[in-house]
Amino acid sequence: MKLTRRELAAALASGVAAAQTESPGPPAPQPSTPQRELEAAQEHNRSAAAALAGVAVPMAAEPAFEFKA
Amino acid sequence: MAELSSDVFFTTITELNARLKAREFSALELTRAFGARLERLGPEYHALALPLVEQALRGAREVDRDIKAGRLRGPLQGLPYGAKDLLSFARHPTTWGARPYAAQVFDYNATVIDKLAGAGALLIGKLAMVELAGGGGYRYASASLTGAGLNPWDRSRWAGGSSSGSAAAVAAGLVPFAIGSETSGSIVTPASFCGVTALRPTYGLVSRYGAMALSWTLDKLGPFARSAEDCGLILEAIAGKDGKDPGSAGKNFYYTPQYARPLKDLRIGYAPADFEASADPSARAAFQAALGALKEAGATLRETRLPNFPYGPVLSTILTSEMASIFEPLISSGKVEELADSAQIAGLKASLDVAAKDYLKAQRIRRLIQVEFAKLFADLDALVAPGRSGPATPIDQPLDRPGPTASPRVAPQGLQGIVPAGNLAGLPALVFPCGFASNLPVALQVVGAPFSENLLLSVGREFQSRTDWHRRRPPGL
Repeated sequence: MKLTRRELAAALASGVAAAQTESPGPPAPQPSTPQRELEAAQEHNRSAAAALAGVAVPMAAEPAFEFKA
Repeated sequence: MAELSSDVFFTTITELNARLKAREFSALELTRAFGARLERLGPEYHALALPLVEQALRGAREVDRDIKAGRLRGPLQGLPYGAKDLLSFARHPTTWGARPYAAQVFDYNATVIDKLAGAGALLIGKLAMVELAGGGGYRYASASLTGAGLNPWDRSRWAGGSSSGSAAAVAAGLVPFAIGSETSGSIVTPASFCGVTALRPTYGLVSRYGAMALSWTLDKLGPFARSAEDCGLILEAIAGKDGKDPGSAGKNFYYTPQYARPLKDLRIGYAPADFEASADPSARAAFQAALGALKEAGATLRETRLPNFPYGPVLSTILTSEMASIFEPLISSGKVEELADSAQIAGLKASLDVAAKDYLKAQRIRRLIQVEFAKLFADLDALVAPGRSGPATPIDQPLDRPGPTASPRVAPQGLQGIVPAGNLAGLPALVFPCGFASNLPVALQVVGAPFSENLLLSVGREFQSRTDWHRRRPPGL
């Protein structure tokens, strides 16, 4: 399943979308050409960016460049 | 040489060590037996990337001399093991599971290889993996230089990725233990699917020097073995400060079960939905029985949920950005086209376009995630959830962007985002088998605060003292 930005925003709001690392779920639509594969991957990245945009981050929160657990 | 019983291939480290010290068999005999089995059965599961039996036999002769002279080096001495083929072993091919790197040879060892050699363990083979540890996102299990990793419990099922060979080799009794890696799910998933016990350590506890980098701020190395106790013994050998790994936490690990808190003193968070509606129907009974076993052991189970963050998108953005920098030469040269999985090729190409602002935003959200998890673990000692929501997937089923590249969705109710969340916060996780679904193993994962490995191991040890799932063997093996 691929989410549009609007669907993603709705999912963020409702908190009901499933995390994909846990279950393969229904098979994704199968892009049949390299160009379609690339477009699907680009859309994946755009959707991720859209999800990040919905999170408010205080200015004091610095990036975890040198990550320490 | 007397032929060793097949039971020896499914024996824990502690038991093997006792039998070696009792001279029931020598390290040479043990290594020869495992080596023959690994070379015979490894290819049948597409689990073997490179046999190293001859050099292991040379090491075994030295170990036997040491044991005879009373030079004992601990529980791993004289035990063969396998390493995921993203770890450098000097002057031997290290392919990263990918055709463009099929002839790659380094002139140095990974730190974990050196540490295990220091403990007397014998590297008997490099184990198969998903190409580039899944970087870019793969659609099919066949995304590997060695072919799809087959599950020893059922060859029509996937072994899981990306540490496919590490999990399958332990499950099939081809090695007593193995080393794998996780960026997001690559230890948890194959351990769950193959019914073995595995540990994803806290970020920075085990040096990644000499390991393929997929994401500098997410990559971890960890053991696959037959029990929680085995994982503790291996972790003690491979953990520790390493100036050659910029992410090293500078901490050692000492496995101390004698100081473990009993389960009755622990507060463990869980979400009922993970064990019911969100679980594969075939696995619900096993998951619920496993939860019941933890309750019977006295653990206080408390309903909880993860802090509300879009874990998948945050993880995906960080991983994709760091991967783009690491593999930019591969992508720009066009050699990326030699990879086996077309979705992965596309994912790698698209990674070059992720904006710096998005990477930075993701890393800032990650700070917030760490803070919220610290609060969560102020009230709870650990979290428990299924390792995967069901048993291993059919080998030819599309995987819908699994492994390290989580899709842009948010964590739902319950703990279903625990894999990306745990990896983002650098949390350790112990995975252990807890039953069967459709004749395939399923597993629990227990996740704790940073550097709480001893606590997680104590949970696994107590669970495994009350159950025998970890001692089950695949049919015909």
